[in-house]
Amino acid sequence: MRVSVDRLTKQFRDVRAVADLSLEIRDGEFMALLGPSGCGKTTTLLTIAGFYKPTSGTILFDGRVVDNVPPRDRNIGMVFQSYALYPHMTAHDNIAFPLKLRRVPRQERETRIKTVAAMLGIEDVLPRRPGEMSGGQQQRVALARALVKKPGLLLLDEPLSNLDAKLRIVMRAELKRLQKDLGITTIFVTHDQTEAMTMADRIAVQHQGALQQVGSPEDLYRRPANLFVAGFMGTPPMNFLDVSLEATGDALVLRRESFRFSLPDPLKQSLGHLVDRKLILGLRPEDIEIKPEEASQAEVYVVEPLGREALVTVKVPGAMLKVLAPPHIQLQAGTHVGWHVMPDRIYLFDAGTEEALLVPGS
Amino acid sequence: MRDVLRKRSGRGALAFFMGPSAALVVLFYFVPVILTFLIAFTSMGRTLLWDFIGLGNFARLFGIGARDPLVPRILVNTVVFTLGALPVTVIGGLLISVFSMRVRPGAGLFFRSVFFIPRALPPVVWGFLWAWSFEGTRYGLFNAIRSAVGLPIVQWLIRYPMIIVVLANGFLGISLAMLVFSAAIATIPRDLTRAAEVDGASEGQITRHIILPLLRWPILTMTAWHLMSFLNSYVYVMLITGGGPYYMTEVWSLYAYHMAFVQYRYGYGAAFVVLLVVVNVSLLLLVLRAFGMRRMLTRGKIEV
Repeated sequence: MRVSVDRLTKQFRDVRAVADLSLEIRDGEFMALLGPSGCGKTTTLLTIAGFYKPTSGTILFDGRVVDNVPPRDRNIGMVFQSYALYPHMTAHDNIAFPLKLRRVPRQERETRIKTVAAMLGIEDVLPRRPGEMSGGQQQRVALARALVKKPGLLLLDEPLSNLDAKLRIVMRAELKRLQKDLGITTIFVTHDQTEAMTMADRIAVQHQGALQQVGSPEDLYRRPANLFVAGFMGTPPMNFLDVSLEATGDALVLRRESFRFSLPDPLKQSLGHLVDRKLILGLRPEDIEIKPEEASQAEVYVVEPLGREALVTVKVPGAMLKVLAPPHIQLQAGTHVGWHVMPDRIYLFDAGTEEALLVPGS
Repeated sequence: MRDVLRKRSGRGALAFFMGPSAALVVLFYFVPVILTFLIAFTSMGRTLLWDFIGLGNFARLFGIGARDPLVPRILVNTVVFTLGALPVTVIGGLLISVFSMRVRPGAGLFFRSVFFIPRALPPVVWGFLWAWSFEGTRYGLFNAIRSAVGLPIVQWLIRYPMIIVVLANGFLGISLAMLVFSAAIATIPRDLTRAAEVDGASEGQITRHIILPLLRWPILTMTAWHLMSFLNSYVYVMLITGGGPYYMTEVWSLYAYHMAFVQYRYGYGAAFVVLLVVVNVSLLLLVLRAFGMRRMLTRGKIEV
């Protein structure tokens, strides 16, 4: 099913939860709505489900306006953050519930329950009630209940956030595989950028009710549209430094106190018009290189070994930088080190509008 | 330091804080119960003489020897009254709660306030409100309406006395049941009803398959509570019909009251009360056994 959100606005009294959101979700696509809490992503999902009526704008399923269609007639499956399993029914009866309401004949009902239970590996828990299941099992049952009615659209509201860290990584992969196997259009709400990056075909980043950017995980990571998206995508997050762009003689220099960074020639052409503007320099932790043998004003603040690499926090005048360094690097807190940035890896943002002015590879 | 204080003053403090209320409970609860039990075995009348007559009162009550011809009727009245008012309260409370919490949440507060008024009124006012409404002359509310539109007046309290006292008590019970059910419905997570809605359930199906099963405990509790309450209730019957016409609405405890304080047959009246206490205690034990006292008194009646 193709879902079109057309200029959707949802207002609650004096709070504008969603502002002028337009979004196309293609048939069979796995779309993540990503943003911090209170950004309007859950409101968007509940409006698509039909629990909220749009204040303005419309929602279309396969080109058909559904604004006045109640949730039960939208042919959607939904998994809630709390799973929302009916506590007085067994797993089997939970999964059977939507089929019973649709008057699916008993035999077909049992076959379908068996199929979906086998698909999700929950045959063993079918006779149990939600109170007697683990969180992971409850989640699978909730998923089975959503899928058993063969919905045209699957809505997932933070489905992984109640699972422990290990199980979350397992379910991430399983959900992604399941979605691809079934080819079911899926909208997935999350505040966790790793979940969105790893699972979704495309991600829509929302912030304070407004859509920031839509694109593939790669797109958002490599070519963020603004400061918010750049800071939200990636762990550890991008480093930001307030800088000004100054012309000294022939060179263009990004300057911040004692820090100076001369722009290479190709960039000089495109950024010449920004001289004397206030800018924000964005540096990904993996794009900074530490040189222990050099000395500068940068001081190692703390080193966190992560096994595969080490996360080093470096204190530079007026800021802290997070740097991903090779694991074998020998650094002591308090020592002064040199640091370098690969010129083709820098991001620049307008300090006023926060729009991206320069992203690597552009 | 605190331990020392507790040890030294433990008993003294206990006596000091608990003593007065314990004395009051003993004086006004246990002593009367014991006295009533004792009186039940006497022929005590207006003269207040303690003439022990063994099981004489009970023999009469159970129709052994000199029998009381009114006892079977009062027994039937009590059963009809209790089993009549119970569904009015429980089903009425459920209907109002579900309606005000789910169907029309906006109108809910108004509805619940209206049905809570009886609880806020003094019992005498509530009783006379009903008595006046169904007054048999043309001054009663319903007769005034009837005569205004040219219909003949009806002797409500003579033609339908039992229905009227059942409704008066049942409606009073609604206020508490409704409060308990509404509070219970409010604790049902919204995700559950939303999930049911996505699953294709209509409002009626949500109520039947999700809300009512989750209200199982509050419903059981309110049923048990009001079963005992109606069994012992006589105030509104006394205020509205006085037990009449000719014992048609006379219930067990009202009969005991009439025997003791109108006819001054204290011994005989006490025998009725003793029997009622026995029934009450047995019912209470039965209820606690069926529900499990611990489960009933601890939190989490709505299993989510």
